[in-house]
Amino acid sequence: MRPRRIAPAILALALLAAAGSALAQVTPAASFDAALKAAQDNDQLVVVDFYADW
Amino acid sequence: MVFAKVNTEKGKGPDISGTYGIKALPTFVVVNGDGEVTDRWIGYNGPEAWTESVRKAKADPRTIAAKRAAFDRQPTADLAACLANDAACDFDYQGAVNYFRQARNLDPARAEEFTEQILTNMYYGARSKAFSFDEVATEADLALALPGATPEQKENLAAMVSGMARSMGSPEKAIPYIKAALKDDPGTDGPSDTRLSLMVESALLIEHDEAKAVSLRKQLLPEGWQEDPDQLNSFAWWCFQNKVNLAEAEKLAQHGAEIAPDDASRANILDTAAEISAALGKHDEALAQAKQAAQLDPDKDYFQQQVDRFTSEAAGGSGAD
Repeated sequence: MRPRRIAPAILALALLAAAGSALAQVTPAASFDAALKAAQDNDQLVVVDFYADW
Repeated sequence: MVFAKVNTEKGKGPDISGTYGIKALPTFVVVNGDGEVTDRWIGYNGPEAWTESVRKAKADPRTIAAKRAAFDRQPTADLAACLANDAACDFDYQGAVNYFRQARNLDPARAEEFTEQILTNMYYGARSKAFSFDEVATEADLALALPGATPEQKENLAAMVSGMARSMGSPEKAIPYIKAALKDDPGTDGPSDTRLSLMVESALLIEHDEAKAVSLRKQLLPEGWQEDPDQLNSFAWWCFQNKVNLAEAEKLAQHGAEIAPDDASRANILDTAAEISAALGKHDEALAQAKQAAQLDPDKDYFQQQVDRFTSEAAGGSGAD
């Protein structure tokens, strides 16, 4: 059967560590709900990374 | 800016993914405090590209709906690009290409960036036959004509066009692009994997040298591939698709099935082995392998369909595609 192509998964922490100054203000949240609350409280945006383990 | 990760398969992940209509992974969605989408895109192309996407999202916090209305009133290249990425998240590749074309018209200085995006969306859209090869070729020719196209860009372009031509059933249509890419010097570090894959295509389509194609294809495999079931399946499937090296491919697929880590994976590789056996005219063997695959993964209808097909072929019918 045709091999399944798997998109490279993202390692968020490595990504944040590697990212440049524009991301200095990006704050990781423990959960989606926590991120939304933080965004509401501080009038911010949330970047959500939808991923899977495979 | 706050960053959150959502595992689409665990906890609340499936519900949240459903709410935001996630169709591919990874997908990045930017939302405001009310949970309204302000930007989204599929794929991760390294930290620099990701940072740039986030910077743009931050620069315009309006919702997608507001951006669409703004674009209708006064179009800009950035709005068009944002709406194009939004369309791509819905697998609306025609829509994405249309928006990126408008972006290119609005800001010709960024033609290279938008042409690359157009071709990328055509690449994915080609699977669902959303574009004709002529449309793809028009964009590919535009990309090649851009000033300062580097050898690496030409290789990437040729690889993309080659993939599209194959998925459209006309691999030979990529020949001019493969030739154009391979004309340039490979550089001192030796050929990249992209270039190697083009050399494989060249050996198959231009030189008609199957042995060379197989040898080059093996160079693309990682060290230890002979004991890696996924790699064995990948290589055997490539041989089957190109109808080359089938005798070795049959043995490799059988070995892959023997060392597969679980039933689902073993079933997949047995299906490859069955296809190869059938291509070699060993219809009884193909049927036995297909039956084994269906037993190992009974929930997958595809394997039962394969059993039906190989049963017909073993009986002298014409169940093959």
